[in-house]
Amino acid sequence: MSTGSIVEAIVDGIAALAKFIANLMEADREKAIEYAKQKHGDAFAARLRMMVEAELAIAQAQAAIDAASSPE
Amino acid sequence: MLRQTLARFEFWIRSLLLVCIVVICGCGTPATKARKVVSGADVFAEIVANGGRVGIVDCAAKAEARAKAGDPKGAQVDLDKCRRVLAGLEKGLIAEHLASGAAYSAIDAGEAVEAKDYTGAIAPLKDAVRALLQLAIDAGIKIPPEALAAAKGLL
Repeated sequence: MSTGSIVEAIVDGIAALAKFIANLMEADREKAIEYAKQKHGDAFAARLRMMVEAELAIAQAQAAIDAASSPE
Repeated sequence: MLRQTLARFEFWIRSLLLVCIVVICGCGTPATKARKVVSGADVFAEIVANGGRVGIVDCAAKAEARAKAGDPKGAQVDLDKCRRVLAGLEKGLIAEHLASGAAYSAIDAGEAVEAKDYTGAIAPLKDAVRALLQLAIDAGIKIPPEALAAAKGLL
């Protein structure tokens, strides 16, 4: 196996793992963060939590949009 | 307000840390230099995550204000943009984290066999940082110019 193909395999593996965790995040964010904390440490879990805060802000804005769109 | 101020302060400390890592990147054995690149990439990811959170919360607040002002359709378009940024950012941060772990392992393995060149070990991580950097720039995430310059120095 050449160095180039090893690097390619690493990149593919990382992409697959990234997709796996992203899917976990979509399914259940709290569980995904807990998993991230146990497997990858506090720093990574803190980064994911920041994204959850952003997601909450989006959900709040969506609720406001839905309320504004619905007929009186 | 206090939280935003603290977040900004934290932002600058991290940027300073990143600059320091890049400045001292040239010192040490090849493995040490490679590890410094990994540390720098992690600090950069932290900066982008923080900036992204602030930017997306801001973006959602603007969409909410637009909805409340009576333009729900326009607000929805704005909010969809915020969502796209968040989705990209999440994937970018996860990819950087996994690449950084893989790079650490590859550097350890390289050190065990006394490798002289660690380019291959940190190549996927550099790709991940490059992607994150592009994403941050495209999304208009506010990142201190020093941190941007330092991130470019890592690549």
